[in-house]
Amino acid sequence: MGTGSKSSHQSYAVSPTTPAESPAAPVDLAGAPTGAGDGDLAGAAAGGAPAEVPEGQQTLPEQPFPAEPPDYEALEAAVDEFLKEFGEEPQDTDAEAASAELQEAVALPEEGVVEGEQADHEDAAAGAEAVLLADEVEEAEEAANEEETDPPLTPVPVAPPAGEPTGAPILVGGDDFINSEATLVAYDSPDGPREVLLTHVSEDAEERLLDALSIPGTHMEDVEVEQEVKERLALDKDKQLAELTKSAVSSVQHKLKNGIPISEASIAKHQAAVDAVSAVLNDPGISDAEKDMAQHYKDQLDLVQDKIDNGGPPMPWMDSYEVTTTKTVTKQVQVPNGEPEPGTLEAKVRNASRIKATLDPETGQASWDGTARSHAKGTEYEIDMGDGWKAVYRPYKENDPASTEYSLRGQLEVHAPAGAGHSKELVERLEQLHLMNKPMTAAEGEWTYLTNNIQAQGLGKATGMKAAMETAQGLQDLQVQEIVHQRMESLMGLDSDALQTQMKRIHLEAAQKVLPMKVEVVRDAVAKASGFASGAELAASPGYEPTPSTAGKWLSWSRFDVTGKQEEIKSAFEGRSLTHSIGSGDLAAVLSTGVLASTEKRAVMGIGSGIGMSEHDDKMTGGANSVFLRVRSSDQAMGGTLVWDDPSVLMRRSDYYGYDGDHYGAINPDHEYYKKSKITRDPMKIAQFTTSTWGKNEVMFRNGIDLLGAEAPSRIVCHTSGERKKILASFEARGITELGGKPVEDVLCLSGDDS
Amino acid sequence: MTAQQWRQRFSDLLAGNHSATGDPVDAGARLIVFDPDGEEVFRAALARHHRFVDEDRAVWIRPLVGGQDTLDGYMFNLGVTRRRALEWEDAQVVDGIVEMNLVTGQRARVEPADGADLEELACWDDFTDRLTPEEDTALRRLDADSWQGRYA
Repeated sequence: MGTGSKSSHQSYAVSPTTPAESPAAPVDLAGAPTGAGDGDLAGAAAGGAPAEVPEGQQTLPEQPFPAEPPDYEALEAAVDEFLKEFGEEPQDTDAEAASAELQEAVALPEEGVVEGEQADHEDAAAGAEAVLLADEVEEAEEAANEEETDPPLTPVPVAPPAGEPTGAPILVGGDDFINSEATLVAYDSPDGPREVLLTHVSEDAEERLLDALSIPGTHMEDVEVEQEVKERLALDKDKQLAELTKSAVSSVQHKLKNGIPISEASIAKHQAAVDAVSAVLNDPGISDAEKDMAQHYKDQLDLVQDKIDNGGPPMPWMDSYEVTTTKTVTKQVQVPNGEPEPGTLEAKVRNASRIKATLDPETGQASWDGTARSHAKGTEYEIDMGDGWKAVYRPYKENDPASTEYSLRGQLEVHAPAGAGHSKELVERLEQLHLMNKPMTAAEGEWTYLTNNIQAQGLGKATGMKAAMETAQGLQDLQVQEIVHQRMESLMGLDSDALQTQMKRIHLEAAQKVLPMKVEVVRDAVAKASGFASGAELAASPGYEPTPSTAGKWLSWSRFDVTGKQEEIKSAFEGRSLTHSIGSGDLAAVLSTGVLASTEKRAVMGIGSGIGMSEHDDKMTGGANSVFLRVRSSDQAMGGTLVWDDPSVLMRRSDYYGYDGDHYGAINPDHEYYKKSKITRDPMKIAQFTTSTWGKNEVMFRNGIDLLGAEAPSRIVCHTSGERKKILASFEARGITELGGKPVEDVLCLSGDDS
Repeated sequence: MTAQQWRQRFSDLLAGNHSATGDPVDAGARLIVFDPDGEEVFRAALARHHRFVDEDRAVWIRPLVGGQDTLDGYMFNLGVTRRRALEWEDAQVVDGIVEMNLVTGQRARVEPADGADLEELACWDDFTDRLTPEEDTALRRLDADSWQGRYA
């Protein structure tokens, strides 16, 4: 599991890598709590779904830098003001004082420690005196250059696997993207693979993205256009024929579905509709179209009459009569106010849409012709990136969550020209959109890992954790001041706007440089909060894996309290399993995709319905981004059930939450209104959830579960032997012989088989 | 009040048997859930099917969350309109409303739907006419943790 690196990363710095021409991406990876005293550290996670802070809210707000810099004193005052506006207390700006304070605040890594070795905390403190002093800046910059050798946690493939609906997940540095995640997908198409980068931009990064665009539509004009419209005839609306017919259909359908006698009320509704339709049909003055319309309803009502007389199975779906006409309509369209600004990308505003991919149920291959899109509620920008490249972005500011789809806001697609091999450029071109375009480094990954573990293990309020986070933030503040002092000469000549820009850049640079030290401070605090003597001991422990699992269809981070105690977890679940029932659904189809996917992931994979969901829906169900498992007795598994007899393969993840029973209200912790009283992320508590015949407890896993890889179920209970044979044949054709180390013949079973 | 009585009222409300027009499709039920502090935390119309599980003192239901108007008419995302459970400590009928104290400490009220909730139920009834008999039956079984077919 993981990407293979067991190392922690305290011994080297991370330097800015964004070119000077473009705004640097924020790198305060988890939006660590400010010095203002944020005690709820769970919200500090960048890589996971914070429990108490909505997604995209973790970063520090960008604030205007308020001062002109006429002189040295004014500049220092401006720096202090800037830090205040970032919610930080100004520090003593004297470098020596800063150094002394720093020595007290944190033990620093010993010089010469190489990646993979663990610096002893106290030994490191002995070497702290030199750090952040002005004469050490050069050394820091040299260390920063070593960042080039820091390999990405998730290497960008040359080309994502063509037709693979889940694509190739990658992590991008900084926090421009929700959970730092992006996915490279290559849809099959007649023109060759259609390679697309899909990601969610964080709300804080949107302003920079929009700065990269020339967005038309600053004024509206009336334009007459011809368009095809489907509509009911005026006579239909006037006489309410569709409504009357639908009322009769619905009433009779209800009786048929429930096997109950047709009621007088149903007959009356039918008669009212028949009377209205007959009146129209008998009118000699109606047009041919109106006659067709009335006949359409008469045919439906005749079928209803037959059901009233004879009963039988429910009727097929019946729709209103609509005609397609070409109409000249006056539409208000957005008209650009002049030419695009030089150096920006031209964007067109249009109704929101989704890639309309299709999934072959036999092969599990996703295809898309590069143009087909399904309608969605909201607004998006189509962005011309030049050379046949384009992007589609659905901005937060144009999509009110009260009236548009919840998951749509912040979605970004980057499209390469047809053909394979564009993966690297798909990532690099994010820079055109003023977004971070470098893969996540190991040091960034360890910060994400730690903050995810703080959230998952509930360590946010542990002794020393708040102080550690404040210390981490203090380190960053000191680094900001140090850089300012170094560059005082050049900063003094800048006007207000340029100074503001430079200060933001310095802030980001400081965050990057100080990250390894922040990691060490927080690792030490996490270690002590979880029973380890030191961060070094924690890092050396067998369960410490500061890299995401890439074995599955998407990335997930582990939690060391489980990865180091798999046997304890298995023991706690003794006689119990995690299960997921698909009822009478098609197991073979689920297994053809290889994943149990959330609604949101299904949409991306091309197997979604295209029916979105509102923020309210997701808040109440958690359904957009999660799949639901239940803790049940191991001997209870009906056909159509996936069973994990060893739940530790899933409990090692850091992204789940559970309720012991069906809890109503906002259950998705991503939403601000949810109440955390009943939620748990503790695998030992989950193991003790009340099990009942039908298991009403719930454990939600983000994105979904990889059914054919490391997270494979122990048993797949088929409905019939025929279904089992069909799935076995499919596995054989795909070369799948084992799941979770067991022969597929043993994994695929029937209800009643011995487990 | 016997268990039989409140269960019968529960079933009648969902089925729409309290309809003033004499046609059950003109009526239905909604669920309102309150936290222990009395705050309303959930409200939704209920699909007409339910399933009591006697040994668990529970009933499976389907709150109608996830509906929206689309170019193809009013549709539901069946990945969202998922089954939920009400596990009760005790229950009774008060003025025709089924009131349940849930094992979670929350309090649930199942009552006649009206207004927007009743309209949502009518949309659901209409939407389910699009389903095949097999799909409709699968929904009514209330045994799946996810919907893997169309409309999800």
